[in-house]
This record gives sequence, structure tokens and C-alpha cells, in this order.
Amino acid sequence: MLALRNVTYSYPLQIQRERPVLDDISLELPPGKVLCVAGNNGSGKSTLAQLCAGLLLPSSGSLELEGRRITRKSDFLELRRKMGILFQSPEDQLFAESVFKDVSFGPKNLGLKGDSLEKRVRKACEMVGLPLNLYGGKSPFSLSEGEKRRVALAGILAMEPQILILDEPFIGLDFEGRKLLESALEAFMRQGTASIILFTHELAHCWKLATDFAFLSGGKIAAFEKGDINLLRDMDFSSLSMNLPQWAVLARKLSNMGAKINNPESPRDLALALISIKESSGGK
Amino acid sequence: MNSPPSRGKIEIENVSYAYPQEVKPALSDINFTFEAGAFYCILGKNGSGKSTLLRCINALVIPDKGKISICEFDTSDEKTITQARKSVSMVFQNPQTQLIAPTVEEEVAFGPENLGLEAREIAERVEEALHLTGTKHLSNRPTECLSLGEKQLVAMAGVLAMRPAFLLSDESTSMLDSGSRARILNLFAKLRESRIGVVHVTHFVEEAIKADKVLILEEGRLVKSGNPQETLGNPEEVAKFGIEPLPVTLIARELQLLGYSLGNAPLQPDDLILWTL
Ligand SMILES: Nc1ncnc2c1ncn2[C@@H]1O[C@H](COP(=O)(O)OP(=O)(O)OP(=O)(O)O)[C@@H](O)[C@H]1O
Ligand SMILES: Nc1ncnc2c1ncn2[C@@H]1O[C@H](COP(=O)(O)OP(=O)(O)O)[C@@H](O)[C@H]1O
Ligand SMILES: [Mg+2]
Ligand SMILES: [Mg+2]
Repeated sequence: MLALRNVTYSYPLQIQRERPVLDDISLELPPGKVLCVAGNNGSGKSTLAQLCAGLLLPSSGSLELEGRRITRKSDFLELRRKMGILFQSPEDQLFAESVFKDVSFGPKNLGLKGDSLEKRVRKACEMVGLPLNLYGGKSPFSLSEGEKRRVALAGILAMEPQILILDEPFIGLDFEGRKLLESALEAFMRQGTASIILFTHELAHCWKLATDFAFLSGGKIAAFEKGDINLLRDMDFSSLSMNLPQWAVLARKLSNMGAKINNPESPRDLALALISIKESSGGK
Repeated sequence: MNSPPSRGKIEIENVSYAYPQEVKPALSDINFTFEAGAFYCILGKNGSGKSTLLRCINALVIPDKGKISICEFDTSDEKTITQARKSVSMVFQNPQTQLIAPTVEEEVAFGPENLGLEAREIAERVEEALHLTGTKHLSNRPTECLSLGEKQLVAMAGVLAMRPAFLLSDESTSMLDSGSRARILNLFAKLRESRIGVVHVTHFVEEAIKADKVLILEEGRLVKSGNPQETLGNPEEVAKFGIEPLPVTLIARELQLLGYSLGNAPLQPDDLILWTL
């Protein structure tokens, strides 16, 4: 399990600003959890992502893996082995001259070679919808932005990490790409021992996957289980910088008008709710 | 916002383009006219040619075939390319590649300074652009010390300060929180009043509801264009182009299957609520 204990962070250049970006944050990520974190632009999500990955060091407080404080170089190496991080900007992690070489860099470092390396790379590329026969030889830098993001993701999935830190992973992906990513992450979670921290502004993209939500604001974090909230009744995601998809907006309005809705994501259920309102109001 | 000097159209005629060493064209035989002061949204899958089309309009890429003229300036003619470039201004897909000045304020002033404007005018424009994008609180910050969403907003401010005839936006709302996204979308709609045309690329189909016209690209071709009702109203067709159908259109489809008729294709939740009344 990954944990942050009382972590505070200020950037070195952050001179005139009164409070640290992250202020005394504690967080636990047990296996099986998908924690979705939202927050305004500049609230500290990417900073938190880099702290979780050991890429930034807390100004105070600590990072723990399996109950052990991460301090020595060997602890950091273990963290790197277990964790994959996807940066908000995919360019930050692409470097090789071909997609195949880029995706195989990680697994190669883990000691894979020959057929097993090729198989691992092939599987990861297929998971993100970039078949090797079409994309393997291309330069990642000649791809469209959405395609680049998928290459970066394949590179991470090919390492078969235990913990994924994903900073806005759905940005730039088209409809098919988002569905592919969602099912790849579902498959990843089926391992049972895996966990994910996902930073996003889009409720639609993380609603199915999330087990927990957290909101970052004023350097503080507030987390709660998805089961503890009733989307239709008490959730005001918009004031928490999440974009509500149309189905959620409509479901909330209809439920305020007295309709019963089983599954707010189902077009059929929402259609039935609309009909029940129309008929009860006497119009047809 | 004052009107920019030249109020022309962007005319795209039979445009095709393939990147060097690529066999597959990134754009095939595109024809379209962007009118002054209107708001356009471009949708399409990854790799369908959206960014390439914007690069052509921005004269960063010159088509292999066909012709693009911007406010009557031909982008393939060396004598007019500079004028063409001056009429459009682009917010790039990756904000990392856009910001160059040391601080936010200097970044936003950079464009107007290059236009050779007077100091007072520059200061006015910077102030206005920071205000419109909600980035005033960042004005003294170093640009390299911004979050990516903040960079996106600052890049937008820089482009607004140029007051181009056309503002090109390549997925420039992709990282914005809900408040900033709503602000920028309202701004795009309001720029009509200043006769500034907007060409906005996005994967968030809901952003296209406010557009005057929506363009759909598929494998480098312009496969559909029209008002939001015409282009987004049919969820099966939208999905066929690899675009996420609006949930409201899926719900409307269910209502039809259940025997109810809705008249004009609803696109927003309130359209459906109104139907129940
Ligand atoms: N290198 C840096 N030096 C100083 N301050 C920084 C640096 N990087 C980011 N900041 C500031 O720290 C705060 C948090 O930034 P961070 O990138 O973590 O935000 P975020 O929540 O990821 O935002 P976004 O949604 O825009 O990606 C912001 O105020 C940002 O301007
Ligand atoms: N610099 C480049 N060199 C070669 N091919 C490119 C380059 N940029 C984009 N492409 C290719 O051109 C096609 C269109 O890309 P692009 O316009 O970026 O798509 P979109 O913006 O719609 O995702 C894609 O097949 C992409 O891989
Ligand atoms: Mg960020
Ligand atoms: Mg693009």
C-alpha cells in the first residue's frame, strides 16, 4: 500500500506566496482502490502526482510503501518498479526514435529480452489501440497528440506496475481511445492487488472506474468513498471543479422533479423518467 | 474588445496535404469557407487531420494541392504569407510549446509588442486578456512555474491580446477545470460581437453545441458540416465518425423507440425538460 503522511510541499521558486501548494496532506491507497482526484487548475494535482511517484520530495512529511518510509535509494528503486506514472503532457516521457523502442524501454530495463519482450510490447500496444504492425516503426514525435498519449501509456502498461498514477490520462483521446483506456484500466484492476490514483476534471471519464473521490483545494485534500455519495441527491461536482456529463445533469434535474431513476447512465432509464414526468404533468 | 482591422473570410479550396515521407494524406480535398465573426467547432478522431487543418490555416503548413486564402491573402504566395499569418492566431494543442516569455504579463504582451503597438494600447490589451481568461492573479508569475491548465489559459490570453481576425484553438480547453472551461466557451461565443472568428478543435462534443457550425473530419476528409442540430443530432451517425454521441441525443432516440416524437433534435438537458412540460 502507498501512503502519504502529513506531506507539505512548496516549490523552490515559490517565494512570495503565502501558503505551500500542498499543506499537511495524508492519504492511503490500499490495493483495489481507484482514487479519482479533482481540483481547480493550479490546485496541486500534478504536484501531488509527482510526490506520490517519488519524483518530488516533500518539504516535510513522508511517503510510505508497504508501511515502510521511503528514504534510501533502494526504497526509491522499489517504488519505481512497482509504480507507473503518466504525466499530464505525453511529450515529457517520449524519447525513442520508434514506438516499439519507446514502449520496450521499460520492460527491457526489467530484464526482458527477445520473444518475451516483444510479446509484452505487443500486448501493451494493443491495449491502447496502436497495433505494432501499423505503429511500431513510426517515430512517436510524428504522431498526433492523442496517439502520443497512447504510446506513453503503452510504455507504462508494458512494465506491468502495481500502482498507476495517471495525470489527466483521458485528455486528447478520442471516443474509442477513452473506451479502450477505460477497459485497459478495468483489466488492470482485475489483478486484485493493483491500485490507481487518477487526476481528472471529467466525471464521465472516471465515474465507472472510481471507488473513491477526492477534492484538492487550498492545499488540503478531502476524500470519500463513492458509495457514500448519492450522485443525484447530494453531489455538487460543479462547485468542485468537475465537469458533469449531460446524463448526470439531467438525472439530477429529473430526480428533483420527483422521478425515480435506477441507473442515471442508462439512456433508457432516463427516457422512462422523462415519460413519467410528462404523463404525471398531464401533457402528451 | 475593439474590432481587428481586416474582417475577411478563410477560404479553403480543394486542399490536400501529406506530411513528408508519409504515403497517407493527412488532408484530402477539403473545401470550406469560414465566415468572419462566427464560431466553428471541429470534431474528429485522433489522427483525422484536425491539427493539420489548423496548421494549414495558420500557414505553418502549405498544402500540396489546392489553395487557402485568409482575409484574401494566399498562404502559398510568398508575397502574402506574412499578411495571412497576421490575420490568424493559434493556441496550440500543447501549451508547453507555446509560452516563451519569462513572466505571464510579458508573455501576454509579447504579441501586441510584435505588432508594434503603443505602450498604452499594449497595457490595455494585456489587462483585458488577463481579465477575460481569469488569469489576473498569475500576471507576475514565471511562465515556467505554471500548472498545465494555467499555461493553457495564459496561451489563450496571449492570442486574445493579438486581436486576430480568426482565433484558432487546438484542444485549448482540454485541461481546464469546469469554471475555466465555461468561461472560455462563453468567451468564444461572445467574440462574435467583436467579429472575431473562432475555429475550435475539441473532443468534448458538448462544447460544439454553442457553435454556429460544426465540422467533422474523418481520415483527412471533411465528411460533414452544418449547424449543431444537423451534425450532432443523429447519435448513430456521430458514433460512426468515431465521435461520442451527446447523451441527450441517445435519450431522445430511446424516447422515439418508445413511440414519442420530439420535433427538433434536442441537444441539451433543458431541451428534454421543456418537452415534458
Ligand atoms: N515548477 C514550479 N515552480 C513553482 N510553482 C509551480 C511549479 N509548478 C507548478 N507550480 C504552481 O504550483 C501550483 C500547483 O501546480 P500543479 O501543476 O500541481 O497544479 P494542477 O492541479 O496539476 O493544475 P492543472 O489542473 O492546471 O494541471 C500552481 O499554483 C502552479 O502555478
Ligand atoms: N509531423 C508529422 N509528421 C508525419 N505525420 C504526421 C505529423 N503530424 C501528424 N501526422 C500524421 O497526420 C495525421 C493527422 O494528424 P493530426 O492533424 O495531428 O490529427 P488530429 O489533430 O486530428 O489528431 C495522423 O495520421 C498523424 O499521425
Ligand atoms: Mg496538472
Ligand atoms: Mg491534434
